[in-house]
Amino acid sequence: MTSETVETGGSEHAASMMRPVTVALAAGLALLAVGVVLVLQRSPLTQVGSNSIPAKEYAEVANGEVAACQPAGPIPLYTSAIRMSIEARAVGPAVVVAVIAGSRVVSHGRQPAGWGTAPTVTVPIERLDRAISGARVCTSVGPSVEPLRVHGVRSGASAAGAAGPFGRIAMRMEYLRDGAHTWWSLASATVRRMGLGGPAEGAWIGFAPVALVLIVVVLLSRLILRELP
Amino acid sequence: VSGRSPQRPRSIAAVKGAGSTKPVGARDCACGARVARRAPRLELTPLLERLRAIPRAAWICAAIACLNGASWSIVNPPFQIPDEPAHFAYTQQLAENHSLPTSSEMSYSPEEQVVLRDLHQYEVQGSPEVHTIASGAEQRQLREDLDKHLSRHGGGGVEGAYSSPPLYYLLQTVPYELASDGSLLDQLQLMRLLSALLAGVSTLFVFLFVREVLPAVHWAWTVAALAVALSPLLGFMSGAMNPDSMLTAVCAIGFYCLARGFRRGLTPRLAIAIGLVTAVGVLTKVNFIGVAPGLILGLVLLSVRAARTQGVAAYRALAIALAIALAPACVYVLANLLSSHPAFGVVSSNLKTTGYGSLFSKLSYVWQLYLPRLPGMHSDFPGLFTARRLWFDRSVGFYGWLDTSFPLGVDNLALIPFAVVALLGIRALVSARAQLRRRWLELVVYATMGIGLFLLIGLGSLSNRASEGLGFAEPRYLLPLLPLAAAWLVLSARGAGRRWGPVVGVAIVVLALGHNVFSQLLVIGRFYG
Repeated sequence: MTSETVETGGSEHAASMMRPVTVALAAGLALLAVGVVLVLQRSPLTQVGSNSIPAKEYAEVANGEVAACQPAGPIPLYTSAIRMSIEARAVGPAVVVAVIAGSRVVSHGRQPAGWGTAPTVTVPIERLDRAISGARVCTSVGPSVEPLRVHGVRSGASAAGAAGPFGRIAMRMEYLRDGAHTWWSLASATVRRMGLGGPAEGAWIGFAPVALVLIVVVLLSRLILRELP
Repeated sequence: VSGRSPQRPRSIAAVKGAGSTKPVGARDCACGARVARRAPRLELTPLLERLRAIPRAAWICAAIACLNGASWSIVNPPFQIPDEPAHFAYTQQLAENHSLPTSSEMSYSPEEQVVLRDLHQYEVQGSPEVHTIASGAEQRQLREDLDKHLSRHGGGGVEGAYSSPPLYYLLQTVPYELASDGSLLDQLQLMRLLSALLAGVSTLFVFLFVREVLPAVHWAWTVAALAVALSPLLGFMSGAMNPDSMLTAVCAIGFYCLARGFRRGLTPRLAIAIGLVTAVGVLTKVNFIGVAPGLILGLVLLSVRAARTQGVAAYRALAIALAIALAPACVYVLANLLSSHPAFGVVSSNLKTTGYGSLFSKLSYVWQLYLPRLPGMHSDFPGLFTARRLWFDRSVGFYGWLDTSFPLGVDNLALIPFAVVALLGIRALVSARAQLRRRWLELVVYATMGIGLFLLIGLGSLSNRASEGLGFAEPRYLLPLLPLAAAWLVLSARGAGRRWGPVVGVAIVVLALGHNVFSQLLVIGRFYG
């Protein structure tokens, strides 16, 4: 691009653009700070119940699509996600969940394909506004590009309403909802924990990333105000 | 310039107005004895002048990348990054046993095994609901075991790192030895900081690359380099002990050398630099083999172009550069042949795709690994939109042992700025299409480097499909193409026009910063929450 000419900008142009750049930077950083505060005011998902089936054994599920229903046990109030004991090797398939009470679907959710290496997958569902007992959870998995493992307990007879390989195992499920404590209120415990298991001990470790990010913000702000017209 | 003696050319720094205009060696010439004593300094002068010629903005961007990597090195718990235990074991093998790893088994040193156990590494890995150690008792146990000074001699088995070339690990023996009086965790932290330093090198050369490739708008270089410096994926991998950090830096240097050659012409020194970069890349990580053909193609094309003015000297430089570039590969092949192994060793077994159908089906697989299936292709990834789910979503956030990602809503939200950046870049390309046509050869070289890497990852994924599934679908493997992403960001900022370009530039940087901050919070919440 040797034919390109260097844009010198000109002092007049630079002066006219300085204000928008400053305003954009200030607004961006302010929005970011507000975003951080809002995120920290939320609560982490916490396990509040399960279907009481231990993840002792597993069944291999070959590639393809499988679906099964099984008793859910008591599902607590405000449950907003279900952690299913489905293990992917590297790329998990789509998982669709429906909570059925009687003949009515009271909640449902979906985790698209692509989730990573983990012995469980958490599927967000519509928040339950009441506790439910005697419901069933129907799970549809796939199509899968890799074999999967479903963890739970092998059952002699197929689970009620089961179809396909899921019928050979009763899957462990855990029910999650927003915890009672916000991230803010957990901050001191989190910072303390960051000081464990590392090269140095102490809560100051937890503040080091904060300090480094603040230095980065100062450096980049000065650089932007200096370099951008 | 006027009034100065024309006998001595002024330094680049002086021409640019950075640093002193007085030639560094001039004062020393007044006294013969002092000249002799300071001879090494004189030799350093051209290098120092070149360093001084680099804009201060580039250094600041590099410093920001280092700080970001350092922050991630604290946020990432020890050994909770893909393959970090294996990479550490490789370095320990080199430093303590003075030999290369001997197998892909897991036979770490007693010290490393105990630390992994005390940190509950295996329980935490891949299980987002399991956090790092939290009690004083666990910490005391860890400290007691570290104080036992257990053996640092492993059995030579380093799992997946066995197939890796040794250069990065050799480099890592420096911080390993420097911290050898401390604990294993001290050593690991210092090794991570070396990776953070490499993030600074990557960012510095990304800045220089976009300056060469898109020289028209100065401020846009800063925008692109800042976005790269703040990239959470680069920070995540640079806050870890992983050869990807060095591979990214080496590739950034390679891109810069090519861009410099295409813009200013190839000098013998630059040709040899490209050869060196290729050799270093081959010795850094196997994935470099995907980028190397493009680099060598660029070198050859530049040499042919240079031969018009330099004559045979250009081809002589090319021959030297190719000899340097291919030397490590030749030594590797020779060593394999002498030891009755396949000529290309683990590389050939990793890329062995016989038994996976016709050439078309292999190419079809590689295509679908990145892009939507075309009519006539057999579906290799049923129910999976690979471009979106494997590459985009995972680029938004995929941390820890590939078990930590943002909620789906964040991935969806990220589509908006991505689309805006893409459209602005396209707009800039359309308006500069005449220049693009003139530079098609250069673009072909960069495209060859990119396609080579995509092919390598795709074929690696295909040949390891049975054992690893889609384990190769990790955005970190695309980090060597970071300079091209940065060039796109420059185009996007310029695509917004003269009036709004700087504002869009600020938005890009603040978005990168926000992405980085929320990514670190995500990892903190996952491991320590």
